[in-house]
Amino acid sequence: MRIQLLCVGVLLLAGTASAQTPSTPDLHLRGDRFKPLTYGELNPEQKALADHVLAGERASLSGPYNVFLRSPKMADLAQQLGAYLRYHSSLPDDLQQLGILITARFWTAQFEWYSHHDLAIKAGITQKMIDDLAVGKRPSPMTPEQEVTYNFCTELLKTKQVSDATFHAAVEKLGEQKVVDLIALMGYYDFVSMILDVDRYPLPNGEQPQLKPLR
Amino acid sequence: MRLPFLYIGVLVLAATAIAQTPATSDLHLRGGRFKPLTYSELTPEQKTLAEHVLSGERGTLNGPFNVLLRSPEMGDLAQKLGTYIRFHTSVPLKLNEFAILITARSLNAQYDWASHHKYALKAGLSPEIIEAVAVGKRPANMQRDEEIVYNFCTELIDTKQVSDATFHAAVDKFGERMVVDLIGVLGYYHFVSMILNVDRYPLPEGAQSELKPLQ
Repeated sequence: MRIQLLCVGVLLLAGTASAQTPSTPDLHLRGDRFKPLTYGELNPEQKALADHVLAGERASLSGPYNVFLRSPKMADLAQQLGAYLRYHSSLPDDLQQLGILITARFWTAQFEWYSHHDLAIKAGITQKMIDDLAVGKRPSPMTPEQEVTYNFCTELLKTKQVSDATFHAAVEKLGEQKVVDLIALMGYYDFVSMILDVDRYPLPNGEQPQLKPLR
Repeated sequence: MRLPFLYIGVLVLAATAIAQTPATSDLHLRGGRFKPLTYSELTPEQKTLAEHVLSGERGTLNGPFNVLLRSPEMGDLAQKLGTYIRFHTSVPLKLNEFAILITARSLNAQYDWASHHKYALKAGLSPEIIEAVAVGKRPANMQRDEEIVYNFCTELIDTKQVSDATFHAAVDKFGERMVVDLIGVLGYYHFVSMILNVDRYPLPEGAQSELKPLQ
């Protein structure tokens, strides 16, 4: 009986230790204009944000989080919206990744583009489509769902509106909820792209920017 | 002794009735392409979103909420972020409203412009500055903090970047947290403006569009 209790105690301690991994000094934060922060520098609110993100579905603080930590309350609300859009959205994965790539291309957000490349491939976006999007060309072929998504996103970014034809095609093919989640996805990644562009967030060592200036 | 209890009972009932005001049939929702919903049509999840917004600092479902109700879980996360950005940001009210107007102008978002035009005046932004932004001109006679916000927002929206000079002027004057909250307001209102533009959300009856197409 004693030994069993001892075992449980040890397991609990081990569990606590691994749940507290973020308290180890290195959060692997990177940044350019915004200095990479270390765990020891964070105030309790910032630690809460880092812990939430590391314990959540992303489990990584790469991307906007080094900048987000400067406004931890705002960022904690933003990351919850981001987690919905990445992991609980009504949009199928391929349309989600397509929306993100189109938004990243619009902002020339190099890290966003780089980090969603593999996710897009995994979700069924072809390398040929990615290459076309990178140079601002309409990808071909696309599935009918991808096509209405592409039309909707590019029209909205370029003209700030969508035509009746594009709107109705999207609602008929995807339904209202997916269309609204798609707009939210673009809005969220607009925000993330702005954060990364303002910071000039660096690509990982050895990686080259894949997006050239358009036009 | 009996009587006071009765009073308390009546008061509790009255308070409950007031807290349930949204349960009355009319939510005053309006919409263009997305049909205005009524309370009785809403699912429990949609009702939760409506009640959160009506009992919060906005107290109204005007603007993007008729559309956001189509994806209530996302809509609730978005409105929480929006509440921070409208009511708890580190950006002073006048500068926050200035950034919203710059965003609304860049997206030709008529409803956002009209409603924040009023808030901006109330927050102390001068009518001359608002008029200049409306016609796409750089306002003259800005105060130093207004000028830094204007440079930061317009550069980021127009060029997808900010220069070193603009970035450092903003961080030196406002600090990192406020700069991040400023990007937050741009990102969130980009999202709201896209929702309103896709919907073709109508202005209140009798109101005229204040924004003409630029160039």
